[in-house]
Amino acid sequence: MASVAQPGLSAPTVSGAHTGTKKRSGLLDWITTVDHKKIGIMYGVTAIFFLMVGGLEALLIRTQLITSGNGLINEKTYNELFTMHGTTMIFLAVMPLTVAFWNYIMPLQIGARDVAMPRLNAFSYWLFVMAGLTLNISWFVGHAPNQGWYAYAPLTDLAWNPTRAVDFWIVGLTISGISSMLGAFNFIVTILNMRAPGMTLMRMPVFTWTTLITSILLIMAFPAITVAIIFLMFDRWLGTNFYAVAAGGDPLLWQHLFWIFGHPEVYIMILPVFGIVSEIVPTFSRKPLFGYSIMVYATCAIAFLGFGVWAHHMFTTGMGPTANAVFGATTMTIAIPTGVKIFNWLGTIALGQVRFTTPMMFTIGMISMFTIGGISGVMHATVPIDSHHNDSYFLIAHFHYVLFGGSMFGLIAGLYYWFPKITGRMMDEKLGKINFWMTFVGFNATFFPMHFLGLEGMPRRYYTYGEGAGWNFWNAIVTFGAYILGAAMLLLLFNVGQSLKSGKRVGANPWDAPTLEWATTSPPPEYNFAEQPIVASRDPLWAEKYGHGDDIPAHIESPEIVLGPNAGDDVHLPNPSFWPLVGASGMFMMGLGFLFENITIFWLGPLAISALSIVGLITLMWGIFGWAFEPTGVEGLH
Amino acid sequence: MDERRQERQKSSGEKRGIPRLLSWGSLSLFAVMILSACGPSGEKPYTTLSPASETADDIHSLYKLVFWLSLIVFVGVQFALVYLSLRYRRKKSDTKRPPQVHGNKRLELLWTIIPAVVLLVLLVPTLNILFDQDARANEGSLQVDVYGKQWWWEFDLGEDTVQGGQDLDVTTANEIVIPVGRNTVFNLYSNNVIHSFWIPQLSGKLDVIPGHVNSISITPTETGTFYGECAEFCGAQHAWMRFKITVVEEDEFYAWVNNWRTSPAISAQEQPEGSSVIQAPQKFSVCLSCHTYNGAENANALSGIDAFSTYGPDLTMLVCRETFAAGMMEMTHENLVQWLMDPDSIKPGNYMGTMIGPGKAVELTQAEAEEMADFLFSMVPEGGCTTADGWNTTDTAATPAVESTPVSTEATPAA
Repeated sequence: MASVAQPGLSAPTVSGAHTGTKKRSGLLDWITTVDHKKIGIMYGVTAIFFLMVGGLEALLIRTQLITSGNGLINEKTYNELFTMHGTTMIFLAVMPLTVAFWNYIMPLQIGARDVAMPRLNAFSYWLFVMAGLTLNISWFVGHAPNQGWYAYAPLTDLAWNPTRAVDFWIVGLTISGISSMLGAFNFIVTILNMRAPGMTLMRMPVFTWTTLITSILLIMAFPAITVAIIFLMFDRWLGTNFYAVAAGGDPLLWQHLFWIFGHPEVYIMILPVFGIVSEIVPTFSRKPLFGYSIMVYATCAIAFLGFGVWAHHMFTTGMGPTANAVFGATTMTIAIPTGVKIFNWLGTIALGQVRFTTPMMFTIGMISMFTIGGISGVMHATVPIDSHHNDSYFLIAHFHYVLFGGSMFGLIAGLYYWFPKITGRMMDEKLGKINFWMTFVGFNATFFPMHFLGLEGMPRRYYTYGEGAGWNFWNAIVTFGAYILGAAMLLLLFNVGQSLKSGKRVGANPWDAPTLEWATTSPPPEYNFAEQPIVASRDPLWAEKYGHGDDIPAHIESPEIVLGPNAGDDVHLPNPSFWPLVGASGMFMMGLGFLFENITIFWLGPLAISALSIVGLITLMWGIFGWAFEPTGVEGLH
Repeated sequence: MDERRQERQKSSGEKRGIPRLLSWGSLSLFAVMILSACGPSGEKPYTTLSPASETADDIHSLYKLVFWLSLIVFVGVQFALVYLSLRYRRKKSDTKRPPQVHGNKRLELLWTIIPAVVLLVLLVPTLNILFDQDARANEGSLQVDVYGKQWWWEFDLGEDTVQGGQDLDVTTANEIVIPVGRNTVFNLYSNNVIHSFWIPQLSGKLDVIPGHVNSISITPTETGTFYGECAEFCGAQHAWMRFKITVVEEDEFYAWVNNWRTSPAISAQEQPEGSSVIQAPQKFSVCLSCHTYNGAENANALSGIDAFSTYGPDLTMLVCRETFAAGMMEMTHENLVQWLMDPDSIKPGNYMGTMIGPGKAVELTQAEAEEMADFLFSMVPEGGCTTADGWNTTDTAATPAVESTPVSTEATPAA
C-alpha cells in the first residue's frame, strides 16, 4: 500500500486556466506542433493512409493472380506493385504506426511531459512524410521502383535497371532512414532521462521497454542499410563498382549489408507489438504480467540474437554448409525467448478474469497468428527445408503471419485499446467485434493457403502463371480472402470515423488498466500531467486502487519533485516551431533534385546537381539555423 | 477455488460455450489438415511433396519430422490459448480480483528448456543433411553447367565419368535430359543478374550468382519429366523462366546425346543426299548474331559465361523442345511464326524483341517468318526428334553402346 504518493493520479486536476486541448486545432497548429501527442496522431493518420495505399497495391496484386494467364496487369506494373507494396508496408505503414504509439503513449507511460527533443520529433515526422512522398512520386513519373523491396544487386545496376525507378527508392529510403534514426535517438534519451521519479527501469511498462530496445535496434541496424544504399547510389550515380562483378565487386556484399539491417528490421516491427500485447493481456486478465523480468530479458535476448541471424535470408546463396549450419542454429535459438513470451502471455491469462473486449480479441488473435508465423520460422531455420520454402509462397505466408498476424493484429489491438485515451471516446465494441472476425477470417483465408501454394512450388514475384502449374484453386481462394481482409480494414476506418463522432465518452481509465498513461484525462491535457507522478510499483494505478502491493520494495527518492497543487498553470511547454518542416522540405527538395536531372543547371564533377537540389540544400541549412537560434521561450521545464 | 468452480458449473451458458468453441476449433483444424493433404486434385508439376531424387528425399524426410513437431506445438499452443481464455473468462460472479501472480520461476524455466530440447532434435538431422549434400556436390559423375540468362536457361553437358571423363559437349536451352540413378552435378553460373535454380521434385533452390559458382547435386531416383523454375526475382519476365528436366534410363540418355550430336549442320550445302533439311533463309544470319548453333556456329561463337548477356539460346534441335521462350509458348509452327514476327508482344522485355519486330531493326513479313519456321522445323536429326511425352526409343540407329563404348567426340555432326 501507499505505493503511489501523488494525489493527482487517479483523478488528475486539470487546471481550467490551461486550455491546451480545448483550443481549436487549426492547420497551422498541426504543422507547427511539437507536442508528442499531436505528432503521434499525425504519425498514425499518415501511416494509416499509407497502409491503405499498400493495401490497395496488395489487392491489385491479388486480382492479377486470381487466375492463370490473367492479363489485367502487365509485368512492368506488377513488379512495381510488389516492390512498392513491400516498401510501403514496412517503411511507411508498420514502422510509423509503431512510432505513432511510441510518440503518443510512451511519454505518458513514463510520466513525462513530452519527449526529450520535441522539435527533433517533429522533424522526424516531416522527414517520414517526405520519404513517403518521394517514394510515391515515382508512380507519377512512370517508373516506380521495380526491383523488389530488398533490391538485390546487380538487378539494381544501371545495366539492368536503367530508369530512375531505383533512384527514387534510394532517395526515399535514405530520407526514411534519417527519420527513423533521429526518432530512435529521441526515444532513447527520453526513456533514459525523463521517467517519473520512482520509475526504475524494472518498473517501466513493457511497452516502454520494447520502445527502448527497438530504438536501440534501429540505431544499430540502420547504418548497415545506409551504407548499402550509399554504395548503390555511388554505383549508379558516380560509376563506382561495389556490386559490379565485371569490375571485381560482389553482389553478395549487398545481401549481407542489407540483411544485417533486414533481420533486425523484422524485430523493429514486432517487438513494439510484443510491448502492446504485454500491456493489453494484463489489463483484460486483471492480473499483472506473468514473469515481467523474463519478458524484459527475452526482449533483450531477441534483439541481441537478431543481429546474429541475418544470413538465414541467404541460405540458398551457397555460403557453404558451415555458415548455413551456424546461422541455422542461431536462428533456432531465437525461437526460445520468443516462445517464452508466448508462454508468459498464456501464464498471464491463466487464473485471470478475461474480458473479451475488442482489443483483447485482437490480442488473442495476435498471439495465435504470430505463433503460426513463429512455427513456420523454425521450419525455415532448418536449412534444407528452407531451400524449398525460400522465395516461395510458403515464405510469403510465413512473414505475413509475422507481420500482419503479429504486427498488424497487435497494432489494431493497440488502436482499439488506446483510442479512448487519445480521443476521450470509446471505439464501437459491436463493430469492433465484427471487425475482428472479418479480419481474422479474411487474414487466414488470404495467407493460410499460401502455405499450400508454396508447397506446390509457386515462387514469389511471378506476375502470372500457366494453367498447367496447378496453382489456380488456391490463388482464387487467396484473392477472395484478400478482398475480405480489405473490407475488414475499411470497416476499421469506418469504426474510427464513427467513434470519433459518436463514441461513448469515457473518463481517465475506462479499461481499468494499471499503467500511468491512464492516470491523466482522456484525452490528456497538453502538459500530460498537472503534477509530477511518483511511481512506486510496476502497476501504479492498480496498486493505488486495489492496494495490493508489489513485491518490489518501494523507494521514492525525492518526493519534493512533486509540484504544487496549481502546477498545471506553471507548466511551460515548448513553443510550436516551423523549422522542422522547413528543414524536412529542404531535404525533400534536395533528394528530388537528384532524381530530376533533366532540369540540371550546374554540373559539379560527374554528379548532376539540379537547381532544385541547391534550393533544397539552402532550405535545409536555413531550417537548421532557424531551429538552432529559435528562442525556446522558457527555461526550465518542458 | 472450489466455490468458483461450482459457480462456473451453475452458469449453463458457459458449459455449452467451451465445448462448442473447442469443437469448432478442432473441426476447422481437421478441415485444414484434409485440405492440406488433398487440396484440389490435378497435376502439380512443381510440388515439393513428391520427391524424386535423393536430395529431395532427404529434404522431404526432414520436412515430415518438422511438420509433425510443428503440428504438436501448433495444436498445443492454440488449444492452451483458447482453453485458458475461455476457462478464465470474467464472470458476473467475480467479485474479487484474481490472484495477483507475478510469475513462476520453475514454470518459466521449464518452457525455456523444453523448446531448446525440441530445437536440438531438429538441429541434428539438419546438420547431417547439410554436410551430406555438400559432400555429394563434390562427387558428381556427370557435370552440367547451367547459365542463368534473362530470361532462360542454358545447359552445357560436360564431363561424364562413365565415358571416361570426356566432355559430352552438348549445349542446349531450357530442356535437358539426364540419366536416372546417377549423381548429376549442376554448376550454376550467371553473367547478368541473380537467378535461382529450383526443380521442386528434384532439389531445393540454389542461387545463380554472378561472380560465384554454386554446385548442386541431384541423383534422380525415378524416371519422368520434372519441371524447374527461376526462384529469385530477375527482372521483367522472371515468371517465364521455366525449364524442364527429363530423367531417363542411361541408354536413352546417351541416345539423346548422340541425337543432339547428329543434328544437321546449318549450312544446306553440307547436308547429305536425301536430307529433309532445307536451305537457310537469308535472314537466318541475323539470328546467328545472337544465337548459337551446335554450341558455337554463330558469328560471335560465344556461349556460357563468356557470352554477352543479351545472346540467345542455342538453336540446335530447337523444334525438338516442348516449349520455347522458357516455358511460355508451346512449340508449334504457328506459335513460332508469331514469335518471329513480334517477340516483344509475346514476352515483353526480352532482348530479341528489342531488335526484331514491327518498327525494330529487323522486321519479318509473314512469309519470311513462315519460311524461317519451315527451316527451323526441318533442322532435326536423322530419325526425327525425341518427343516431349513419348520418349522416342525406337530410334535405335542413333543409340550407341552404353558404358563400354564411349561417346565419340570425333564424330562430326551428320557426317
